[in-house]
Amino acid sequence: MNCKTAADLILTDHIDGNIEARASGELNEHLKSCPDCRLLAEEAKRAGAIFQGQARKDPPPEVWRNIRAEIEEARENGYLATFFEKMRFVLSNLKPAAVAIGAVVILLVFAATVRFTSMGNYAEIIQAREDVIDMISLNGDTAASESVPGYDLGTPAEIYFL
Amino acid sequence: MKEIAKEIIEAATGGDMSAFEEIYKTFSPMVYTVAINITAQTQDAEEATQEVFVKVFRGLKYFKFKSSFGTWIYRITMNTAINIYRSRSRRQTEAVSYDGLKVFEPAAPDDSKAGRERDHAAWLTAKILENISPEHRSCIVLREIEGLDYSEISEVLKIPLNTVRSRLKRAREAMIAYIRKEGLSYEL
Repeated sequence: MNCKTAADLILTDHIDGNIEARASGELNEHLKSCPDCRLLAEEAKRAGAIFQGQARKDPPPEVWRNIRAEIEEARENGYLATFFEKMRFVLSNLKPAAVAIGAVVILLVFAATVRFTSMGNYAEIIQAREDVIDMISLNGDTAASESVPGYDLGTPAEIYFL
Repeated sequence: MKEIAKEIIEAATGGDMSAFEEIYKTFSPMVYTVAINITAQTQDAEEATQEVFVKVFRGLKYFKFKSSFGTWIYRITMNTAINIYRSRSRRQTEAVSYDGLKVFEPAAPDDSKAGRERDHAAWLTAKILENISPEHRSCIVLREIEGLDYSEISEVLKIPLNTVRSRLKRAREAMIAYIRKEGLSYEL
């Protein structure tokens, strides 16, 4: 076993008690002949021991009071926050397929909206043209309006020059 | 890893505050201890603990018992504590000085030999953890202080087993290098 492999094992599986029997045997053999790796093994053990005496600590009592107050306040102001929370949860948990389906639906709705809007505009244009024709006919130049029925937008001046 | 009865979780999900208090009593020492070791500030650890339990309360209805409750709380704790640590670090680099921040110190002075050794270990732990990155720190805290095994750490941090292993290795290398460089003593 070389020093690199030995160091890798010392700092992980060896110190954490996960090392397999065969690897452990090889490592012990290596440690007998390598003072640097022996030193590393010793230091790793002592560094780990620093943490062993750490007792769990209780948070101060005001932390629970603050949590309780925050929860109660949220409950009182509740429904709108709950709605946004739900939306955020749903959005954060959307699967790619659901996102794709959503995108397709949005595109279809957009396309349909554009189509209906365009049809509306076309009808308005036709109506405007008819209004112009009516206005011309109201001018009393029946010859001009009747000469080319429907789409003839001619005026007396145009007829003169033609 | 600590666990709690399913009935208590379900009661808390239904809005029962005494059941939620039971959850708090069971897990708050773990949350607070982890938060202190990640943030190295008692104020930040208190803020993190508060934030974690508010998130837990709000998230209870979405907890579907697919993972263990303890794993879920550890995960929320790690994410919250690391975020608070990062935002404080950013603030500190932007500002000239910060008054009123209580750096973590061992609580009660204890003059017995065992007490002094414990204080020295707590001081050394804080010094060492301060000098490794939050990612490596979270692995070492879960392994050395919380006693989680590699697969539990992998589940909490949502990282592959090999990453857990390599982060622990790097964290330990960094710890040993720091102790050598500073000439710190392992014992009192």
